[in-house]
Amino acid sequence: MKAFSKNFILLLLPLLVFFVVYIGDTVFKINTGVVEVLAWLRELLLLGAIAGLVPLLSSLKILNPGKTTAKFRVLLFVVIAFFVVSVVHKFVLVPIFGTLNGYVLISIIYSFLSIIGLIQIRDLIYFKRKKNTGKVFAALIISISMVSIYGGLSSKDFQQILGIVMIPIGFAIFNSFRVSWIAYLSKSQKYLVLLFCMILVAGSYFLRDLVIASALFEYSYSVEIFVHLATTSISIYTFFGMVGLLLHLPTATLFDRKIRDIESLQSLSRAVSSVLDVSKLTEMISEFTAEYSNSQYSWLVLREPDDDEFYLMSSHGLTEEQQNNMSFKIDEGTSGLIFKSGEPLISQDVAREESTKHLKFWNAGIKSLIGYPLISEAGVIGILYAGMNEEYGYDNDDIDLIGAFSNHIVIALENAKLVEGSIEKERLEHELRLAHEVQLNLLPKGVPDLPDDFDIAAASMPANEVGGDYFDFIEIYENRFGLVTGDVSGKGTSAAFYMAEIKGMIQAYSRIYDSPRKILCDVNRALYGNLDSRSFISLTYAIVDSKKHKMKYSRAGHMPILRYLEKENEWSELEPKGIGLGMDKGDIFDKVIEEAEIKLKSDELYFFYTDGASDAMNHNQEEFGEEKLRISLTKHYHLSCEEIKANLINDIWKHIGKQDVHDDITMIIMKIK
Amino acid sequence: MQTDIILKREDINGVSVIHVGGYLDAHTATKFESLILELTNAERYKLILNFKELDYISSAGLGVIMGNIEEIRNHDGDIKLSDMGEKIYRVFDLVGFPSLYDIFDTQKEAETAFESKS
Repeated sequence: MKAFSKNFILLLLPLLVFFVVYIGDTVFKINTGVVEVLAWLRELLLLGAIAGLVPLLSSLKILNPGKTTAKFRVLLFVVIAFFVVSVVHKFVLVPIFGTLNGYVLISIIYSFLSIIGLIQIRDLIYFKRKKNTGKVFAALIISISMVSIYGGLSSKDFQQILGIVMIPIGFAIFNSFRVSWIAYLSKSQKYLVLLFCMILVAGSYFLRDLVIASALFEYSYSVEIFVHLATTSISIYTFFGMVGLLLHLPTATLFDRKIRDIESLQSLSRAVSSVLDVSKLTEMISEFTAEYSNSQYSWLVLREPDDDEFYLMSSHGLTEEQQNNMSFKIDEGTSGLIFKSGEPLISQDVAREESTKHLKFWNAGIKSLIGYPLISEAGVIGILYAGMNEEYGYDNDDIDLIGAFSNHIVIALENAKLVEGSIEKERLEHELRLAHEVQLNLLPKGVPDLPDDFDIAAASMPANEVGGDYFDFIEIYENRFGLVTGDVSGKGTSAAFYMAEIKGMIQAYSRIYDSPRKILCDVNRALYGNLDSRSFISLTYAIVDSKKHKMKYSRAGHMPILRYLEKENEWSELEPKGIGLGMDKGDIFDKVIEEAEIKLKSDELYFFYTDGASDAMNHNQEEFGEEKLRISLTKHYHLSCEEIKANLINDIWKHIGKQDVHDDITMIIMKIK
Repeated sequence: MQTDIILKREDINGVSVIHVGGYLDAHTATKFESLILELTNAERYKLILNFKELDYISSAGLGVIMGNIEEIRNHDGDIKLSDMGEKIYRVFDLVGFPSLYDIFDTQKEAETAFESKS
């Protein structure tokens, strides 16, 4: 409604001007030119009214179609309308309304038609707008307007100012070189538009006589000159369009082909950029390739960076037998040639050309073949093949198209892999965070309550987010507690869950049995078979009786317990026999594992640890070693266990230096005062 | 810094010897494992791992041996270990391997053990 009322006003204003002039003509006879100033004003008003038509006529959709062919249809309509109107004028308007009134009507209608025609020309010129396009077209319009005004003010018609008229016509010719729309027409559209142009050129030639014959100048010189120049511009432009089209016709098929190539590339890139699943993507690629290169066969092979052969990912048109008989080693056959050279292989006659002769066993139907390497930073990551069932089936354009395809494919594949990789990475990171939290919760928050003569401290530092090390304090009853250090082989999420499993088991069995050996035997039987066959858990379990000052312990394939007797300044290893948990189903384990019991005396230090502490390596791959462990512990023996621990960790860090820590470090230090 | 693994395979009659040198850790364990799989796929189930040139072994390395022993023993084969340096033996010993695997001072002894069994 709004648009309608706006259009209505846009129409009303120019018509109002025409009407005012009409009143002036009929009532005051200003058209007689008696009063020169009034005549000038009249001419200017009429030109203004025509200019006022432009906003309305260039906003109406039906007069401003987007397609080039449709624009020519509008132009055709304009020319036909000119003829019809002139006939109507001659045989209807003048007889009925008289000469003057007839001229008024025809002038207004001609003005409308001229403007509509000029708008079409403008849009065609603007088809490919560059910096100067607007200026050059404006020069045409301004020169038409100036010449029209000049004619109106000096009361001369078109024929009388032919010299000056050459200026806008020159600009019209200049504008007429801008016919880039031709290139974008398909072959059939070119023929259609050529036909339109021929009609238009012929039509506008006769139009000239018609406009002159209509003696428009009797109404207004400027309107007459304007209509004249507008129609001339249209005929010049369509003439040039016609010539352009004629010149383009021989290559029309080629242009068609190029446009189809561009379209296929566009649809390929649209499709591949939306598909992130590698297998769907490869499927799509072989279908696309076959379709757009007119091939009966197409197949895609890919390889991972370390593989020494390509693998068939997808194919089109190949029988199962053909697929099975193909081989894509990187050092033989066509794949080998393409892999080595990184260049496309083109065989126009598969049975005879050297590079493809050997393929005849399986390629019965394929007479010409293209193999295009897919090259990424990692080298030749794949090959896109297309095959046809006739010799010399591929021209250079087909080869170029497949080349362009392969570039797109590389990007799409890398893209898909990246996305796949980042999803996988995110999932792993999430899993690791979870496992890390689980693990933190598994470790005891503090040390057990102990009599004053016991001092104890513990630490566990995972090398990665999730480690395989584990320690625990288990309060059995008042004066007895269990001490666990363990190491799950392997790291990451699974280690964290084994750890949770084993913690639960040990906590449970500790309440049933008083013997570390028995507990470990049962844990081993429960664990065996539930553990990945590549994993085992080494673990030391000790039960300390703080009242009786005794310690019972067993070792399941773990590091020995180190003992330091301060008075004697003597180190020893407590190493009862034992096998890692989960390595044997139980018979051997039970037979081998030993349990020992010792008295705990004053001025003794016990060190439970995992191999991460002793194996910590520096940049020379030298381990920290048991010797240095002992030295550090001895040196700081007089301090509290917390301080001894801090100093030892510090010493280990110093040894490691800037190296990555490659294993978890876990320790429990217990001192009897 | 040499932290890679060096693997050499040697077939002596029905027995396959893998000479494992360098570093056998989580990073190199897959290479080691694929060689073992290559042998078991070829139905060679009598393996001797000669550790003479081995500098370092981690639990991942032990895991590879453990992970394949069951299938190999199910096929009447075995993995026997030989020529360990003191440090390497210490690792195997701590975990309790001597109770579960035959460990020999020399490869020859391991070969003989296979012969006498078959």
